[in-house]
Amino acid sequence: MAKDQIISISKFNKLKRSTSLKIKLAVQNISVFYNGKMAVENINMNINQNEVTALIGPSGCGKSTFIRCINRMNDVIENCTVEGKIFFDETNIYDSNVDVVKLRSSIGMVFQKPNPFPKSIYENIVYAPKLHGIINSKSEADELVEKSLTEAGLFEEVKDRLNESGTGLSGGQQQRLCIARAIAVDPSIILMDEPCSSLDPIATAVIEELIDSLKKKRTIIIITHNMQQAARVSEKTAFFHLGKLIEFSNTSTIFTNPKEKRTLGYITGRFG
Amino acid sequence: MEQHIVKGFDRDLDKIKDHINKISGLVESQLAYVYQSLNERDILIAEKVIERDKKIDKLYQELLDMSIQLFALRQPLAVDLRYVISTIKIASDLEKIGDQTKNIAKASRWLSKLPVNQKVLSVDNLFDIVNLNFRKVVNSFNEEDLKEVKKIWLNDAEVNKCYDIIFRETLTYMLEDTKNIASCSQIISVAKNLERIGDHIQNIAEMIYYYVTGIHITQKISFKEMKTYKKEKKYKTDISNIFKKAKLIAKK
Repeated sequence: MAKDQIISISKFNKLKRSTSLKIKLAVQNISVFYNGKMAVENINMNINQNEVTALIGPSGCGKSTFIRCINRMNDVIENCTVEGKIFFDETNIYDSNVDVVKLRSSIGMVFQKPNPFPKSIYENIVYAPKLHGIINSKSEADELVEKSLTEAGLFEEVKDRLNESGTGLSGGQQQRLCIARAIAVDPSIILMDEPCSSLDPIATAVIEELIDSLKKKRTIIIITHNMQQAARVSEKTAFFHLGKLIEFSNTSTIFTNPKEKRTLGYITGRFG
Repeated sequence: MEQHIVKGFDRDLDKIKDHINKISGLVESQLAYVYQSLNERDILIAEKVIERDKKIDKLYQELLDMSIQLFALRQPLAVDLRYVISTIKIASDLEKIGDQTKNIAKASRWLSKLPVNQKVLSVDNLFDIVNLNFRKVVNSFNEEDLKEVKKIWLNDAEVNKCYDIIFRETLTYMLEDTKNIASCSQIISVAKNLERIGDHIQNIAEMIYYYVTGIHITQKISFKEMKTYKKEKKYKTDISNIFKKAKLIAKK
């Protein structure tokens, strides 16, 4: 069955070659259990390349559990089991021969609270590329630091204090540093779990602008509790409720005329 | 529809609905008064209608303020968003109906000054259709009755047809006797304003359908229904025939 699915995805992408839209991630029958108790139930969805996909839903609906499946972060949680398949560029990431460390360099993640290493800004960026053997010399490292910080829109603000601690930056800058750190290993997908929840409106606007520029090269999946943010930044929106994917559609459809009653109830503030 | 978790949101939406009902109530009474003033050649009633239009304008402005406030404070989405946008549009149409009624009142004031023996054509039929459609559309707004809304939308063809008949008649009368021009030109103005009111009623029907379903009403009208509607709506008066008739009258 897996083989058939792989062929169908490649066929789909071939057909779609005329347009710029391609499937980057195909999620098939994903279910997650904690201690045998189902937390996420049979999720099926296709994530398009170079698009922002927003995941919305009330607390405890399984968004974070689901997003952690995408780069196998659930593997490190004890008593957590994942069933189903996720095809990332036609490879099932749950295949036994998949190198998880390499996978996580291709699928980066940014968390709710900025978590820079207690090291210099420079060290924060070069740490992972050094581990992965992406950089071998000082000049390569310098170049990568500048490139990553520029892409994260932070270089101009910190270029004169690259050797200062990353934890000394403001909340918004720390979050952008974490994004720069994630993109230093050149991931093609970036997962963001409520990246703006601890930021003020200006820092949030900067991150949203950054997301818009990042999607030119990368695919982004973002969890947010802010409806307006989901509407502003994403092309597709998925609504989760009680561990199930209730509706997955174009963002404009979800926020103007959702098909499911539960989606309508949630986005209009009638339950949550 | 379930209530919002934040009760204030429901209260704000209810306030908007109340305001729409207030405006439509006022417009309905304006229509009744203007009809009375036309029939009874009553200048005082006509003046009253003209004066009362200011109230409608004020209510419309209040509704705009309420809607802006709701957008800023509640950020409505989906059906709520469609509802608020639609009510703004509905209020705008109601305000324009108020203006058209005022125009009719002005024509009525003019007609009242004509000598009693001067022939004044009846616009009763057109008035009845427009009045009935208006009452129906206001009820449909409160009851969200989509079947009725569709009927009202299609019924605009009837209004146009009726206007066309009055237009043709008045042209004939004017050609028959130039003394009729004074009254007939005002009658045409009344009929034209009623026909425009019909269009606003149709717009309101469109907005009700849109906020309830999220689909534009024209997408839900079958090809056959649309064909009949367009056929009925088409302007039919052939003025050349009326001119021929006028020439014959002149010869006699």
